[in-house]
Amino acid sequence: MSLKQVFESQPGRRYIMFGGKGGLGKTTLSATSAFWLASQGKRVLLFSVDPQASLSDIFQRDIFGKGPVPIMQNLWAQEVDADRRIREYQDEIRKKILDMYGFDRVPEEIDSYIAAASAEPAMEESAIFDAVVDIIVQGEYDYYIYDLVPLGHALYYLSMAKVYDEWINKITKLREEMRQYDQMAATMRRQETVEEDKILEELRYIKSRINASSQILTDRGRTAFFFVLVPEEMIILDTRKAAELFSRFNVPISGYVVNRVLPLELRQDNVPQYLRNRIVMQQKYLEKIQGTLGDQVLAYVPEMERDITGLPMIEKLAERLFK
Amino acid sequence: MLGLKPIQQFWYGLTGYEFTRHALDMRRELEGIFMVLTVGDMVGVPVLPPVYALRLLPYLVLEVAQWKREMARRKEFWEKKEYDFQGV
Amino acid sequence: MNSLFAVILGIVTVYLAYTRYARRIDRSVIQSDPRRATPATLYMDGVDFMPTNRNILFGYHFKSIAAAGPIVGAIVAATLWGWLPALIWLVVGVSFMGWASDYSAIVLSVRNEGNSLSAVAHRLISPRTRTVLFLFIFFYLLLIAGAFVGIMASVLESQPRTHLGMILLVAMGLLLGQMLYRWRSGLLAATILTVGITLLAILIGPLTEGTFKGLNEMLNGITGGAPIVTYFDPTLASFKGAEAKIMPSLLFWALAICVFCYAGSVLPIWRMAQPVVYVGFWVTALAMILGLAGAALGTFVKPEVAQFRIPAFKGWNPQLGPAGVMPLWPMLFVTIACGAISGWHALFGTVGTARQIENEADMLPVGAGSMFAEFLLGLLALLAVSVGAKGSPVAAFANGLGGFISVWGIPLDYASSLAFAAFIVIVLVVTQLIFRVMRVTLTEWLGEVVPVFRNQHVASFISVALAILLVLTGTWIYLWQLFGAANQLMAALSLLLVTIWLASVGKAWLYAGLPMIFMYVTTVGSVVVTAYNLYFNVYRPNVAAGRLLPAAGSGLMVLVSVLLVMAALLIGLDGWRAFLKYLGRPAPAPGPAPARG
Repeated sequence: MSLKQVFESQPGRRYIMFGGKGGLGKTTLSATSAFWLASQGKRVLLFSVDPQASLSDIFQRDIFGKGPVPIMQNLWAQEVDADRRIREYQDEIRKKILDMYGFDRVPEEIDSYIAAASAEPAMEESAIFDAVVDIIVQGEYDYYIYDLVPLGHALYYLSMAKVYDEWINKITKLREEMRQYDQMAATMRRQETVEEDKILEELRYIKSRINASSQILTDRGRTAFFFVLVPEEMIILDTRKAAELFSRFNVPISGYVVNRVLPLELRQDNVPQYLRNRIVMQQKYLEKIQGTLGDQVLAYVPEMERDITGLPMIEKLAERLFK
Repeated sequence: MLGLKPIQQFWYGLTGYEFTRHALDMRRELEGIFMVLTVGDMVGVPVLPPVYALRLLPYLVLEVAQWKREMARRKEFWEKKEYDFQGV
Repeated sequence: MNSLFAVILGIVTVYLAYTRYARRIDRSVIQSDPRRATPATLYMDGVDFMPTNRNILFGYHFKSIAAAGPIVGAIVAATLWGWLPALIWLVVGVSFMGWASDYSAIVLSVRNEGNSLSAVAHRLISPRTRTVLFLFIFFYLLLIAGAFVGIMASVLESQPRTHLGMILLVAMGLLLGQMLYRWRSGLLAATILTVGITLLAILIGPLTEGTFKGLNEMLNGITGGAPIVTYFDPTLASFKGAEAKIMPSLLFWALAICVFCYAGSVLPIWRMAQPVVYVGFWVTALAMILGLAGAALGTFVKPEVAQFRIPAFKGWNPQLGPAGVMPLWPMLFVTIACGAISGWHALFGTVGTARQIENEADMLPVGAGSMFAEFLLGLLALLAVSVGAKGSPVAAFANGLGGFISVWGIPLDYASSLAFAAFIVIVLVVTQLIFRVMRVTLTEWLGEVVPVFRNQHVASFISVALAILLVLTGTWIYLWQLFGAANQLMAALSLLLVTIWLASVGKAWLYAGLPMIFMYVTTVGSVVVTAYNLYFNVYRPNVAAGRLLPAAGSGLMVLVSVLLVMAALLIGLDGWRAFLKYLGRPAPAPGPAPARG
């Protein structure tokens, strides 16, 4: 099967992720697929939370922290500025507190808690998590392509979703018990029934979002996950380990893309011995890949003569990849 | 002379009031746990993912000061509820 | 003397004491200020600190002091010394000391940020007070557990007609807990159902008497009529000869009570302890209200139930038999803790109410008012026992109260059934709470050092075992008086705290200080007398006759008395030092209270 066939045969799979170790070409492949889909008339959002701003690099414009930026017809790119998002979120919370209670200022100990939150490493993770949830549950675009930070992020994301979900369950249960006691006290006092517990509402809202996003990501019918690798020994080993992990988490791997394949034609030219050896070794690895992954490999992407940056180069690669 | 309302209130104090207090007591215990599980890192216990803890924070603003005071207050065992028993 | 006259006398005296004396203290010494913010309004948290309407609070506080103590005390005192000393002490006691105790404890707490008295003790007197409190708490609980289990067991054993009612009381308590907390029923419906069934079971008690009597006989048959334990009890010298016996049936009922209390101790409080107390409250309230009204009306409607039949005054030192002494002073004052003073409640109970005081002007009606209302309960018990005059103190009480209730047209047999049940109930409900607290105390106290005590079953079992040991010792009267002494010492401690606090903020401290001194001296004296009685008249004869269990129990009691005296001396010393210290200059106050917004 080819990459193109995979896309065409499963139009329901609107959530695409390219994963793999850093520097192997995920961003290139994500951008290329996004380009192709957009040119087929689909509305595509390509997004990333990588602070390295690789999308900005590849499109040669600064899109970091600017929300969905139109790159060309039907194609938008977004780089989530996690830090800024956290700051904005903190301000939102502050504003909410001021509105709810009519304070002039947020009480000091509350404010220092809010401020301190941004220093926690857990804050950044959970904020990124929440950002992805936000984007995924939107629904405006036909395709969502998530350019993941190195390897395990999807897994981490999913395992976090599971943990968060369990916590929310526990806390919700606790809150519901509290509500029962409220009702009992109200009955004794012959009061009207207690007003809705806003926290309970919030918890349910949070839970539904987390569930929605993790459901999407584990749904074979809606998500496609492509693993990017290059023909090198260590990478092949890592890929195999990752594949096992993924299956444990029910993340469906829809296929592999082998990138940076040195073109065989090079063997014929007058090239240095070093390069010839490399091609021979590459052949060995390619056979290995063929042997273990077989037709799960959807494409062998050649090493291009230039870095893939800018729309023209992307277009060129798209032509090669999706012919 | 005594109106009806004060007598009703007296009667409530004599009968149902203790149940109300008990229900609120139990609720408060649970609330303590709830607070630890959500914004526990305020007292050094990291638990709920910060982004969601922050989200719940506005609703807990009023309880926070009192909860912290409660957690910090050193309590003797004879200040437990049981020791306030009726009947001697 | 008849009951109406006593009731009128009682009501007039307390009315005067409240309006002329208590109110004056509130106004000029404490200077309660309606505009001043109370801890309830300052720290309002909707649970502990919650400004509450004064009528609700009055009902709530009154209920928490509505006690078995004054009832048992009154009936025993009247039996020992006659009704006159008991009456005088009830009236004088509540007028000068009783109201001051709870009221002042509330004031102290309200004016100290809602802190409990024990916390204040730490600050004002010395950290050593904490250790003393430990001792007090456990002995207090142990003594009262033994005393109450003992008296209930003997009543249950001798009154088979109460058995059905008690069984249903427990069942209905469990049902009520289920209905309220799990099925979320309304309180009214649940009350009518559970209390109704319980009352019914109590009233038809006499009809079931035969069945339960058979049970007693069967139990006693196990040992062929021989007692399990015999002990030396000089208080019975006059009508039974000093050798007393404990039959299997008594032990059975003591164990049954303990099983019940054990369950109440380990189950969650809303399951059993709380609802049983609630159902019991209705039974008692009904009996008391009907009784009090009947006592007043009796003179006109049914004079034969209203005449006092026991002697007014039996002497300054009625003899109990072989060398037992029971001098009026100091023993009267720990037998009947002036009708309503409870040191335990002052130290550990009032803080709950204090944190709900909405307005300083409420302190007097709630604190003092409840005590004065409570006095009526003690008075009623005294009237009942003076009129009943038949057999043991409890039987006399039930007979008398039954007589009062019968004024309303209920046949005497059923009325006394209700009276007996009311007595058992009022004692039972507090006893189960006591065991609960005993378990918690053991766990907290020894749990660090001896980990096995952390297990709630172990702690409960030990508590129960100790109580049974005391029951098997016999000599219930000394147990009761030791308990009274412990209670009074705690009251003295709370008054001591109040006195020191008053001195430290430059207020007139006499109104609290004088009662404190009186109580302190009287109580320490009484412990010495009781220790003497116990050692020479109980412990030694038991040891000489080789009666192991009673010897162990009475030995334990002697030990407890010695420790109580030591604890009292320690407190006295530390208290005196603190008092002198603050008399000169004021203590560091916890910040000025802001005016109400």
